[in-house]
Amino acid sequence: MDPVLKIESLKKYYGKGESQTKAIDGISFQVMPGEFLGIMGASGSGKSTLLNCIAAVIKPTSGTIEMNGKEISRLSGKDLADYRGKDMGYLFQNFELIDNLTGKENILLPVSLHGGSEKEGSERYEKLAEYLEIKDILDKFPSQMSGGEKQRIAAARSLILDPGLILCDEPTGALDSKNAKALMTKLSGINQEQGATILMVTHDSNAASFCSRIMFIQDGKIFHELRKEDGEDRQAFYDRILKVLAQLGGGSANVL
Amino acid sequence: MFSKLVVRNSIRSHKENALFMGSLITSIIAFYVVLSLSSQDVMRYLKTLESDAINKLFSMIGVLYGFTLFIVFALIFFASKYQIERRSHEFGVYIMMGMKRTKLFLMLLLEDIGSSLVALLIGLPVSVLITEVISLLTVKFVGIGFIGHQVTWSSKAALLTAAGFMGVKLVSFIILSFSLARKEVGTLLTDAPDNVRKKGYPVLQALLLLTGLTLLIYAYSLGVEGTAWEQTKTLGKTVIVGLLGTILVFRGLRFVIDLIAKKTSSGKLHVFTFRQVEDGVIFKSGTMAICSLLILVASSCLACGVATFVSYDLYEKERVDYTFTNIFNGKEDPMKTIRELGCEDEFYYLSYMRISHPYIVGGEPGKAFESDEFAKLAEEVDPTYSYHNRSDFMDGFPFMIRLSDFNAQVVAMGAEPIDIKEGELGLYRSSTFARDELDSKVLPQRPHVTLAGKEFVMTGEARHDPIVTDSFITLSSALIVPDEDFDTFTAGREEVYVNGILDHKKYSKSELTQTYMRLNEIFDKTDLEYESYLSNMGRQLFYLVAASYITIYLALIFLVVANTILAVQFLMGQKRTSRRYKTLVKLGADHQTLYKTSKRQINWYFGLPIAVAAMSTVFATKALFNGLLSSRTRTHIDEMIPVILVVVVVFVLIEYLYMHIVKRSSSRFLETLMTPEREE
Repeated sequence: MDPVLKIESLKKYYGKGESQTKAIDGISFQVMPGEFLGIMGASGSGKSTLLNCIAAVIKPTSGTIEMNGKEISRLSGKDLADYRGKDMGYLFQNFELIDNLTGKENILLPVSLHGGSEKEGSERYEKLAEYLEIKDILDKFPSQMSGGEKQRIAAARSLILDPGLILCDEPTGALDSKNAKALMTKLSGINQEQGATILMVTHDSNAASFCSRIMFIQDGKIFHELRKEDGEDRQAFYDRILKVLAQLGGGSANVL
Repeated sequence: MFSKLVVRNSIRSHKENALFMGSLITSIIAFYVVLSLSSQDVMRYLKTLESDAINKLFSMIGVLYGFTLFIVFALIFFASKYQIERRSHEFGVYIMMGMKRTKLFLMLLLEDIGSSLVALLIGLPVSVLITEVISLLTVKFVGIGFIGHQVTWSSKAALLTAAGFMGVKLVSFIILSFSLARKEVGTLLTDAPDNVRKKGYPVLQALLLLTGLTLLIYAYSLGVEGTAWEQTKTLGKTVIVGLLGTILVFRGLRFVIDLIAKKTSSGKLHVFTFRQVEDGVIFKSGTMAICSLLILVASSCLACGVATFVSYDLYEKERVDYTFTNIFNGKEDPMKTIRELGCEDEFYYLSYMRISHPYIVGGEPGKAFESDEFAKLAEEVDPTYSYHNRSDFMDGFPFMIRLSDFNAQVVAMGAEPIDIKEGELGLYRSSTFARDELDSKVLPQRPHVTLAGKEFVMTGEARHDPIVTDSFITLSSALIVPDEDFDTFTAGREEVYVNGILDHKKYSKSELTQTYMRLNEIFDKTDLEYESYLSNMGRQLFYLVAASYITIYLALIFLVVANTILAVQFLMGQKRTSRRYKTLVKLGADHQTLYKTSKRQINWYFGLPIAVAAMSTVFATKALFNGLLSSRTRTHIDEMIPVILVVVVVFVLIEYLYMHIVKRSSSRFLETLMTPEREE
């Protein structure tokens, strides 16, 4: 099976000489179809830079990022826009809904932008609305929705074009624990039932416990990796995450 | 360091904002054009002909200047407001870094003064150039090129322009500074929060739209019927109903835009585009309505100004060029003097025109002319005839014109002679008092009348040819009487004028004027009393210049203000909602896509007010033509169609230019949003 995303010795350096900062310093990993990968790390560890590189927002200093076999640093113009819109779905921490569009209009925005077939779009839209339990708020404007509702609308939007990879950037960052849990349940449901591939950056160990694999990043390098084992329940996985985090943040090896 | 910051900021803001600088320069031009009116070539020339009227006009310049101040204030205020909102984040950063507010205002004030000076440096030479071109074009158009061109630079005008401009800028600066001072740093640092969108009430909006349209149609019908001009009350009603209608239409437009937005379309970002347009209609409907009304006023003014300018024919085809005073009171026959001066050959036609009253009275005393049958027939056409025209035919003591004199003169002027036989009378009314609708129905019925005790029938068509040059005497109405009867009825008491007509084919317009001036110089040396067509022309020219100048000027100012407000509103709105565009970029929209939706939004944002204004203009111009233009001008309306087309083209060009500038600014702004950096 070919990986959806293949990252090879990725480096991103800022500045020159003594003041050089190595935001990403040789990261390699792959994301397989149907995988739910979490990326965790402290502020300044290089998470954002990694996400920006994958979303083709910034260009890496060296290394390659391949999405379904396409080298994304070579994309430009229309291909690049299509990559951002069609091959990738993006779920943002602050929802990024357009405030003068209704829920339905927000969800269908990628269809309008990237010209997918209307029929396919509306079929998928119906399914998603049903699954994410947002049927009642489709005609509301974002200002009339709760945070959880907004994020579920945003989730439907990121899934509407059935992208190869869904990038989630702290999706629970602006939600309370109840809404966060509801969202993560839905996301992992989509991952398991429909085989959607998800890459999620998060601080939240609770949210991370829904993943099937977690990579921990520190100082631009992969520091550790956890895999959910067969039959392991979420609580056990959560405990293991906490242990790694303790090491990462304050473990005896790291005391300065 | 501080002064460096000021200089750098000023230079940067000029580069970034062509619209702002353009508005400043337009304001300067607006001031200068009004103030330098007195040094225009055509005004200098008019002063020699009609100094009283011109002085009255010049005294009105103060009013116009005041009005311009007010309008320009609106222009500068909006442009500066946009400028300050655009930079609010920057100001927030300065304050966070510990800059005192007083120092911030000092910085802004210095920048403001700097940009004003730059605007003046560019604006004044441009204004002078524009006034020069206007001056040359007017002179060429009215055919007085011979007076020689004088450069119209006026230091007083320049000084007052600078003073007015600086004053207006200062006042708007102070007002905007106050509103800036009241804002918290936090508000400055974040983009102003968006207006919160709520669900609309389609039925209510549809009702508003319908009411607005109904009111507009009612106002149109009032305006076009022509009844609007008869009473101030009706006129006021028309204006108020029209205003209210326009405002309601814009309030209700949300209904239509919502329908368009919901319509399925394959166009990229169709829904987004129309939701954006809808935002304008919801939150800025008042401004849009006002801009639409301003555009309406501008286009109506422009149409009327140009119509006046074009329809005034200074050199009427039928005209008497010279009238020498009559020899009734025992003076020497002017014909003799003219011959002695050797000027007889200058004229194509030189002859007598005899006018008098019926001094031999038959029948009732004081009733030399009995026209009961005429009045009766006239009343069948117009029931108010007796009431309004009691003094028609001078209450029974009418003027009479000698038939052969009349016919010889009109033939010389190139018109058909009137066919009057023995026992018939012709009817003459001066063009200002023409009642063709009435006369054309009454005269063919050949009403019987009695003049000086003798029976006649009135016949032929009512004539309006000039009898003498301009204002020597004005005959509102007169009878054209066969020579023999005329000579009998006058009993030798005639007013005899000598009329001269120049060979119009021989001269060009400006040669003709020069001929008047040369002959006047010769006649002025003698004791001949005369009037030449030149002074009539002066008066005409005065009305022409005054009316068309002011209306066209106001039109352009209104147009510029309306467009600037629309442009600034749009760009400010786009900036305020930049987050939406950023989201689109994150979802993979490229610059081309964003630019396309922005272009479509601009087309709609400008198009809606323009469309409503255009619809109203059709009726408003018709109403204005009916109400304001003289009947003679109205007969020229067909000839004006090409001119009106040119006006429309100019109008469209101005709008296109504005929209183009806004599209470019918007494109540049969107480019700054293209990097979708992840925010922490």
